Amino acid sequence: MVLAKNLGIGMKGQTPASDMNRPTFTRAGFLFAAAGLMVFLAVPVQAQREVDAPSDEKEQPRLQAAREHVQQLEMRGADGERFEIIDHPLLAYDDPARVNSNGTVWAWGKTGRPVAFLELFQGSSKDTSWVHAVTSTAAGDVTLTIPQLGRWHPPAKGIEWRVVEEAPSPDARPSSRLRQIKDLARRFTGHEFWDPDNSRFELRVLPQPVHRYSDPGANIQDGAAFIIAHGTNPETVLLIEAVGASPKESRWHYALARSSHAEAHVELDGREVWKCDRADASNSGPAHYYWLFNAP
Amino acid sequence: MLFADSFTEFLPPLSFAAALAVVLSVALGVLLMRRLLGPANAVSRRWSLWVLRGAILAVVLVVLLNPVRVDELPGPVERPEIFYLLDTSASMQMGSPKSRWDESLETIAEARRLAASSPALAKAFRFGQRLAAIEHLPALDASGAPAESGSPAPAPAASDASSAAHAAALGPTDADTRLLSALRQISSRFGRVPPLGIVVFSDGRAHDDVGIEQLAAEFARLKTPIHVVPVGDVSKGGDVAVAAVVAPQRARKFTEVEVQVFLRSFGFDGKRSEVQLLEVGDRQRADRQLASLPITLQSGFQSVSLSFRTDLNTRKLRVVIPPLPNEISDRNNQVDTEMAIDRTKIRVLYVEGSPQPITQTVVNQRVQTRGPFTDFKQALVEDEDIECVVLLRPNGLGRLMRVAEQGQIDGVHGFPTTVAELAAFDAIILSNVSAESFTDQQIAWIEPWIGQRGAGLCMIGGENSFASGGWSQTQIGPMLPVELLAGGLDWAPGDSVRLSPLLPPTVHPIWSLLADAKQNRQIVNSIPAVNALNRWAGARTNLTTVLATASLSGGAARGDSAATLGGLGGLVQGFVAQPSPQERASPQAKPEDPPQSAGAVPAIVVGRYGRGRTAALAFPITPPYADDLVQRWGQGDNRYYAKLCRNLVYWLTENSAIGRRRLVAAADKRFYRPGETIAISAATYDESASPTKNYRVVAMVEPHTAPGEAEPETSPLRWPSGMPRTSGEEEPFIVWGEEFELPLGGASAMNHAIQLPLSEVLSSGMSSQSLRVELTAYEDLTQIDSTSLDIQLLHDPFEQQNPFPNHELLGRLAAGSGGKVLHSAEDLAALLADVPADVGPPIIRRVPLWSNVWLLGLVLGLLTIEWCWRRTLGLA
Repeated sequence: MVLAKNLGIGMKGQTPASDMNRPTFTRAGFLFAAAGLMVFLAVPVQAQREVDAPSDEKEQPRLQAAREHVQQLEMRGADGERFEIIDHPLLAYDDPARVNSNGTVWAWGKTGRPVAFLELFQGSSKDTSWVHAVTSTAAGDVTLTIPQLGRWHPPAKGIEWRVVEEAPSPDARPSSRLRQIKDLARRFTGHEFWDPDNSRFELRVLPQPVHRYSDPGANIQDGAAFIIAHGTNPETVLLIEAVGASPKESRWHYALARSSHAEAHVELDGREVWKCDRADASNSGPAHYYWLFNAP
Repeated sequence: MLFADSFTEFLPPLSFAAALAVVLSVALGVLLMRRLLGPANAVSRRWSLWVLRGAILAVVLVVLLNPVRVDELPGPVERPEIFYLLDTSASMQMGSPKSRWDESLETIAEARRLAASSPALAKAFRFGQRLAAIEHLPALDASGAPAESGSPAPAPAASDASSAAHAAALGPTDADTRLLSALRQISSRFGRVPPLGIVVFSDGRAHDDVGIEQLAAEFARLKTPIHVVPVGDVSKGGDVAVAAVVAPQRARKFTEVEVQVFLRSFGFDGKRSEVQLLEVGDRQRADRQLASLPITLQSGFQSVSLSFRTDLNTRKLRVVIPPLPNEISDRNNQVDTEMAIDRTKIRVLYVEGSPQPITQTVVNQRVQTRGPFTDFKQALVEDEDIECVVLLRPNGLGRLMRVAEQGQIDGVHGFPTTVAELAAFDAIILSNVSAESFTDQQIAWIEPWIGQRGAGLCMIGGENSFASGGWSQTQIGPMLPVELLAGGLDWAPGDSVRLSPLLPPTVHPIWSLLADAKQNRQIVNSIPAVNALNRWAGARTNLTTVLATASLSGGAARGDSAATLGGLGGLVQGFVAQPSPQERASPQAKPEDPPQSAGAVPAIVVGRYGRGRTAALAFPITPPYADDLVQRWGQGDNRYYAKLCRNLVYWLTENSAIGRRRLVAAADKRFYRPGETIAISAATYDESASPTKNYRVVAMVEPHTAPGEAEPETSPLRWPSGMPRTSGEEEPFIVWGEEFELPLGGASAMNHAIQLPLSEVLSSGMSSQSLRVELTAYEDLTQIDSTSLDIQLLHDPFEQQNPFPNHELLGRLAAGSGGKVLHSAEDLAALLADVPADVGPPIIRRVPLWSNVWLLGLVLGLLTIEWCWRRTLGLA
């Protein structure tokens, strides 16, 4: 099933409050109230920042470098609206067996389903250029602008969504839904074929989702992104969502997006439900859902 | 009488005399008026007016007669209530061929059929851990069919989905039987009038039987007798049950897996039985037996351990104890469990130091490269789950270089340049390579990689191996399972060395070449000889096992090898195999094993180092010294050399699946009993595979919930005292999904650790058997790795402790309350049939028949017509 809605746009715009029945303030009174409100809000906001914002003092140099790099990339929707990148990497990883170092996973779309995931890593210690593996999870038209390189414009059709068969109805409570989501994720297994000798590598689904979201306006009551990894190296992104007008009316759906050049296979309850061929010019590039490119 | 009896009667408001008086009075009045006013107008004597007036008079007369329809309804029947209390504790699942639960339901259904006309109104309740009303019990329906034997709940007679779901949910699953509590609570369910009686369907195995006489007496005072229907066969000999099975949720293929089985038996002391571990096929049928163990039963709890070797297909397991004659129930004689096969790729770093040249030949227009590494590497990569990276010193000189996929020397890459790169491998094979080929730093990296992260180390014989390779003076020497010679020379090439595998009844995994045990033994014993040997001082005595010895072949080899061979004999002289304590304890010297010569020396020794495993092979595995071993052991696809190499790697790497993880968690025990404390530790590794404490580790507890099963709100783990709680929860137990951080500390300051006390009392359901602790390592808000630990709980509920019914308790309850012991459905039906029906007076309803709009309209119409007609005729 394909969700043919641009999920991010609806969430960004806020409906202005009605002007009717609004109490009349004097100018001074309004300023006083606004100042009081700001003071009131400032305390928790500041506290929240202390918790949420990555501490620059503590942050590893590799994460700092990655953060600075991804800030140069710009993701926009069809109407030019900019999608913000989530301000912390969802996952940090290394894969010495495949000479991946300083790896991180990022996503665009702070509200609702991310429109794309980016795997960013470097090769050997001598090579400081960044390797990008970007994969689209958008339901609409998006464009990524890469300085000095060009644009990535995946097909607007969006990735394929399917119903998770034999799944319980989404629970009304978010905590129970998270348990349900993780139970569903455990039913997925994966493997891939890669070098050397195009041999088989078993993948593992990281038990904890790297990102959780919802977008009731787009009928997404709950959603989570899991990483199917080689060790901790992301090879496929698994999205699981409760889709419906309300939690009670919704059903569990899933979609998979490649994040690797390897030929990947994903099974649900032991039955293959998704595969992607080894990446080449026919299925990877600036006009495809997935693109791997280097940039300094 | 179900329907109303209806008839019509006249109920005039006046008596006949009063009515006659009224008529006479009216007639007298008419006559008097006639006399005073004279005769009526001639016009008024028209017949038409007489008809109209007569009709009006007739209608009035009918109304005055007051015809009434009388409906007589039967009087209300007061249906006396009878309460049914059904024991839904787990012990009711027992019974053979029918379960006690099925027996109860059948009794109810049969009694309902036999006493169909009974006015008794049965209300059903369930009791186990607590009392609850049963909304719908199909057995109480007129059409309620008895349950199928073996089903936990009766099949619903109707196709109503909700009824079916309810019936499915109703079953004997409670972990406890609280009969007295249920009887105390039942009085709150009484209506205006107490029930005529209470019927208890139970096996009588109650947890709270103290004070039952007093409670029975109270019911006797209330004049509410408690009748009992005892179920379960008391003539059985005993019972044996598989109480729990502890098996890893995930295991590597071709590895030895231990399955811990907990049995509970009663009444079969001294009897012999067998615990069988079976593999279950797709159709839930046992395909083959993986292991078995004879046992002598003793009343109470027993634990046995079975082990088997996994393959690609082992997923569903079944532990079975064959039913014994006269056993109470065979339903609890088996338990199924599932185990996934972990096919994470095994990465082997194979360092070959043989000075044999690399040759290239053209076969079918393709260049084939061949070197000393080719056979061993090929043997490994025939298995798609093994990756082999070869390092070589070209011509035995220079630094180690990697061999590319096509066999060419990769001049760029060599030994891993970082700890992380090394930790991405699962094992290292050092074949005929000297210590000087490695830097001190590289050797220093190997020790913690093996000891702490569980990788495998194997040294294979050659002129540059063991003491001859200078390993005695390195950190690697003490890690090996053999004592190296103090001197620098232990290499003895040139003569034929016969290898003699040591094969106890359960062979070591390395020797498991074929599925058929007998054939396997023959094949292993036919292992070809080699032409060189390294000499050791002996096998280490701690945690080592000698898997093969070597002796010199030829007529004079046995017993006097040193005297007949040249250089090799001289080296062999003076040392013999030193079997480890395990070896001495194991019955390795079986008659079918090849005879050991007095000069036999250990040739293959395996052992452990920290978390890792180690192996030492005293002979080369490369040409020219091992030509027969490599090329002539088996034919075609049966190249046993290759299988031996893969077995070696699988065994070496059994503990090393953690090598590429950044978060490694472990629990201190394989299973826990109620009241014990679960100690969890988690080690985190940074991007260079070095232990770090810079990450925070967050955990949460999640249930292993079966589909449709309801779990309690909280886990059975207590919130650790003194640990701050940010979730806002105030429960003494950890709520499912509640996050908590693992503090740094424990045995190692680099580890995160926490202790979680397990509740003394476990509820029923899956969470009483196992649960999952999910751990995630974060750097700020960024996930580094996540993993989960399956925690197995050993739950021994009261219900399983004594399988015999306790009918004596039920008898006391009935006797004390004035009730009866009902031994059959007929007895219950007779009780129901004796219930008196209290029928009230009939209900009579009277409806005046004239009180309807048509009759009144008729009167009004006749009056109007009469008036109009009169006017028409000229009368006033």
